[in-house]
Amino acid sequence: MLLYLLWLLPLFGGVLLWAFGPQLKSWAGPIGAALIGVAFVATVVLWNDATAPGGLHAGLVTWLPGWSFGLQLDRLSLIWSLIITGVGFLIHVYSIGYMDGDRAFARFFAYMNFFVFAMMTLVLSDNVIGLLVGWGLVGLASYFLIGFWFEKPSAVAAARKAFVMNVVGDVGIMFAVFMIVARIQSIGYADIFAHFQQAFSPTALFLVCLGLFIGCAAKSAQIPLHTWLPDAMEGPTPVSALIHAATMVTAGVYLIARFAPLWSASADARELVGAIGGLTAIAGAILGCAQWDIKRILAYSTMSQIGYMIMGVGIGAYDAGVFHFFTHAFFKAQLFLAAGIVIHALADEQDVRRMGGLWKQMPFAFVAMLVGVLAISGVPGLSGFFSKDAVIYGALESGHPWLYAVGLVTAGITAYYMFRLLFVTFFGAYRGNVDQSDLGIRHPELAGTAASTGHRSDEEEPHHHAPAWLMSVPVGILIVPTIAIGWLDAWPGAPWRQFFAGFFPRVNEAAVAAPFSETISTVLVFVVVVAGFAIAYVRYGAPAALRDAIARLRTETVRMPAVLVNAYYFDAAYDALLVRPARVLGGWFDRFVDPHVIDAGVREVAITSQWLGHLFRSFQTGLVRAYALSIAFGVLCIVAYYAYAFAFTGSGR
Amino acid sequence: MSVAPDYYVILSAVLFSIGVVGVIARRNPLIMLMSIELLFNAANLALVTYARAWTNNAGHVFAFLVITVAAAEAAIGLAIVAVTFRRMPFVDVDEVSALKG
Amino acid sequence: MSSALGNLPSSADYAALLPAFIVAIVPLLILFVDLFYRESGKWRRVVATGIAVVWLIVAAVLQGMQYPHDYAAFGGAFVQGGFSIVFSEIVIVATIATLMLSIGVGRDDQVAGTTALLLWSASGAMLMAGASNLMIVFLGLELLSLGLYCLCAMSKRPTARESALKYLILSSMASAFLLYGSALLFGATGSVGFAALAAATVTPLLALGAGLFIVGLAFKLSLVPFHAWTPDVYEGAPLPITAFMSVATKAGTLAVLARFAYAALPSDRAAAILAPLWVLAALSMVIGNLGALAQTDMKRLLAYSGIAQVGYIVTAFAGTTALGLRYAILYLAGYMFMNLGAFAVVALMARDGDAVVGLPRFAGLAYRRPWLAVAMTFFLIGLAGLPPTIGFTGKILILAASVGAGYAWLAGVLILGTAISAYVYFKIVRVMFAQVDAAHVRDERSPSALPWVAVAVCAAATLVLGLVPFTPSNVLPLVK
Repeated sequence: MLLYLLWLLPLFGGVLLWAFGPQLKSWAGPIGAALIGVAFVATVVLWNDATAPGGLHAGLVTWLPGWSFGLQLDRLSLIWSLIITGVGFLIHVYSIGYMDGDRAFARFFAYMNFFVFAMMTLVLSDNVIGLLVGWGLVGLASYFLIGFWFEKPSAVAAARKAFVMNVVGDVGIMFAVFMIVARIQSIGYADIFAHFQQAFSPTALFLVCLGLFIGCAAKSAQIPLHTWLPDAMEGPTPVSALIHAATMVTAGVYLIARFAPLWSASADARELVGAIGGLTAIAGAILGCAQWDIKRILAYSTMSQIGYMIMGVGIGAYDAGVFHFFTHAFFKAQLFLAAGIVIHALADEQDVRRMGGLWKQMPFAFVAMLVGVLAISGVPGLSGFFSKDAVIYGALESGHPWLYAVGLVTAGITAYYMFRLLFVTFFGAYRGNVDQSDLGIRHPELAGTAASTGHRSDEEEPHHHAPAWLMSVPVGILIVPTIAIGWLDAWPGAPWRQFFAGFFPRVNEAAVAAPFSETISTVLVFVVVVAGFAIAYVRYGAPAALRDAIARLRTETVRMPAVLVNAYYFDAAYDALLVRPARVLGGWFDRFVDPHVIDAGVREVAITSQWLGHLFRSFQTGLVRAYALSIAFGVLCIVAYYAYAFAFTGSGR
Repeated sequence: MSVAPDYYVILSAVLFSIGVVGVIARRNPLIMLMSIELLFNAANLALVTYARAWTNNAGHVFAFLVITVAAAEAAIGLAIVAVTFRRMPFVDVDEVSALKG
Repeated sequence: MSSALGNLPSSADYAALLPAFIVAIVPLLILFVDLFYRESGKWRRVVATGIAVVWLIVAAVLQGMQYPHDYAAFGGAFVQGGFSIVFSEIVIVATIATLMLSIGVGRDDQVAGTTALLLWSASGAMLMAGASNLMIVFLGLELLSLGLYCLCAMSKRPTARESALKYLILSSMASAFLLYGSALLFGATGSVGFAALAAATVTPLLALGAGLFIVGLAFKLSLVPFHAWTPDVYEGAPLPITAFMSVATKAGTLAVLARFAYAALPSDRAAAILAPLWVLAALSMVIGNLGALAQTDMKRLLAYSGIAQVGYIVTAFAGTTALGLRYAILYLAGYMFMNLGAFAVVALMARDGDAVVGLPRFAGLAYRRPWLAVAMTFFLIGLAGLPPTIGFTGKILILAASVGAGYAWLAGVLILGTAISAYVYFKIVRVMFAQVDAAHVRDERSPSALPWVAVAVCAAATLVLGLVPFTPSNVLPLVK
């Protein structure tokens, strides 16, 4: 019962706020937040049921045999539900402050609640169709929220890009679902996991996994379907925190963890997914070093961190991957929300080059950001340290030394670019009043400066500020798990390991003996992280660097390698290989195929049908005797058939 | 079965055919109704014939049932013909063809 | 040699027939009560309709209580079971809906008579639902038809009388074919029971009898080429009666056809005997939808659409699989709701509940009466076979069943017919959502809100059945 409530409450909120937003006015925010808060409480109350063997299950409808729809809350969906409703609640509260004064205040919360509903559908479904529906709905919610400020052309373009990329992924998942339904004739996870080994040959299994992974890659911004995520930062910052950092983009991790039995059975799928996860981790981290927009830096770091998670679940270290999702949700949400405070205070300035020295004006934001940076960099004792270590060492344990090396290097790069962000933003002198060209900013519209992102101009619409605590309290609360939550997985018998003990299937192959122990690995990671920090300190944080920060930033901007500025030319390649040919093809269709082939064909068919219709109409003379004749004619035909079938060729009497 | 019933059945088939032709060819609704009575009674003849041939009374009962139904049908039919043609100069079903197309 | 009337009937036999008896006897009560009203008045109408609805509900409940029990009453002449009960319930629901639509139609002092005739027709259809004996089939069919001949004429429009005359002559002729076929079947087997027919050896006489029997049923189902009467009669008859004919007649006849096809034919030659039926279904699906293309009168259009829809249902019988029968019942129930819903919408657009409603009257409906337009669109979506309605679910299931039974060509024709029909139904939707000058459109409103109830119930059922298809599993065996 409570499970239905948990599922439907956000939907109710979404509909309520959408329908009565204008009437509710400023109450829309608190109501939206409260409903998510209640959903969080419901999730906590359901803890015991969910952790019972088999989890909690609630049926909805059985359509046909094998097509039963229901909800399930097991340990995996419980973790996701806690994050979606818990972190979601904090972000809703934060948004009351952040979105205060926006013209579409109620609409924002309606979309946010709808997103939570969609995400809950995704993780609570006990069947692939429900999963697919949720998968599509989160994409839709994301589309709405990226394009929330639809007056900005860039926001609309980003929303469309995200949607198109996600549709590519949806097609992959649909393909996998078709294969599953066709072979197993059931949509329930339980049936699928019970029968997939008989139903699929290794090749077919790999294809199913591939289909699923294409969906993951699109949703979780894995190479090569990652390009929408940085652009998605056009949405309001709370949206970036909730959807494009904490929850939706990790749906791919959930999907692979959910289909762990399939992955455990397919070595090829593990190799592929692990490799792409590792590649995404390092590629995203490198791009993170080349960004100036504070949200884009965080976006690339999200992409990189999800790369870690995908690598973890991909190679079979499911609990490590899920744990990294768990910790990441806290520290990345915190980083985004802290960045949001900065952006909000600087009237929508997002370019870190035009910040600097902010720790004095915004000590709270600085502390919050500092804790987040320490956590994501993997400083011992904070949450990111434990989960990242687990993933990296998991690569070694499962016999992927190359992925281990990639993970190690990425950890160093992560520390570098996150401390770069911290130093440039909060240390030295404030540079907001420095001329843009002195900082080397040539294209403000590409750099996320206030000039381009000024969707809420204070001159036009002076708005009173909501109490500051609405934004700072959620961030303050998030600091606690960001620091401490990692200890759940700190030692061999830690609660996290017990929680998932025996939940995920073991990978079929015997574990490879790791060449060195986890302690050595931890030390190694720490050394790399310190190295990354040291480089960042020398380049951005040391007194010498801070003194001539403006000149250094200009030099770096001007000398930034083009390959990084253009994000490895993925967008350009898509444009050249897909968008432009599609335009050409479309134009050709428009000019020739549509009018002369398709339209003409449709027209001919329509005309012929109409003509036939009128022909039959003319048979309908209205004369009763003619109708009687038609009946007699029909009888004669039928009698002739029976005479032919039975009297002449069949057995006589 | 003996030879005799076959003649009765052939007779009934002939009567039935005449009835069908009557419905199709005649324009007077009363004659059409009579043709329909002929159809029913052709069937009755067949039923009674087979009842005797199989020595199964069900055929006789069936025939009585048909007679009853045919009587009701005739009553309703005459009533409908009467209301339809009350205000028309000719009693001709071909005149009744407003519904068509 | 078993005689249908060999044994004396027991009380259990009468119990099986009780719901049909109630529906057949209540008209006498209604007529009797009506004698006490001297002047015409609203109450006279309310009382007659009220008695009918109450007793129909009683009959429906009694019928439902018998659901799990299979019982062959009167020596196997009337088989009560899941099959007959589902069909009877469909007939009862259609009758109640008809009564809802007919509030406001006709003169108050005629209502008792029309209600009585309607119930007698319904009792005939209920008899057909359980009939497993040639005599009961004929009796039920005639009981159904005799009432309808009169009901068709119950309007001041001259076209109503024309439709009654046409229906009378053609339907009697078809009944005669069915009767003659029954006589031949009796001659070939020496029995009038379906169970005995199934055990007989196949002779040309039996095949011919079966053929004529099927012709009679095909006429009642308005399968092509025995469909010519349908558009004319539907257009001329009063709207509620058209709604009733489009569902109840088809339900009763389909029950007989299903029982005959599944249980009354020797299994070795059943496929050959039934072969023409599938051709008729294919013709109906194509010609019914093509015919609908050229129509502008809503009742006429729905008549053609009904021809095609019955084609879909008969397609489900192809190969006489048990699954096909279940899906046919499901689709019939769904068709009933979609069709009655569409008729209810049409009824809401007529001042006296029975005007000639042409397509132009729907122009711009979405802006004048948005809820009505939305409801109509929903029913049309269902009839066209699109989700989330039973029209979609049912059609998918029928396709699966017919392909599974080896009649892929019939499934192909079904898809072709559906494609044509989409054009038909969306033509109406397009008209409703077109911007027009409201001054040019005659906007009438029904005097009663009761059709709204029918619209709501039908819309809900169309949706729910589509999402949760109910396919009764205990429909076999059909004879004992």
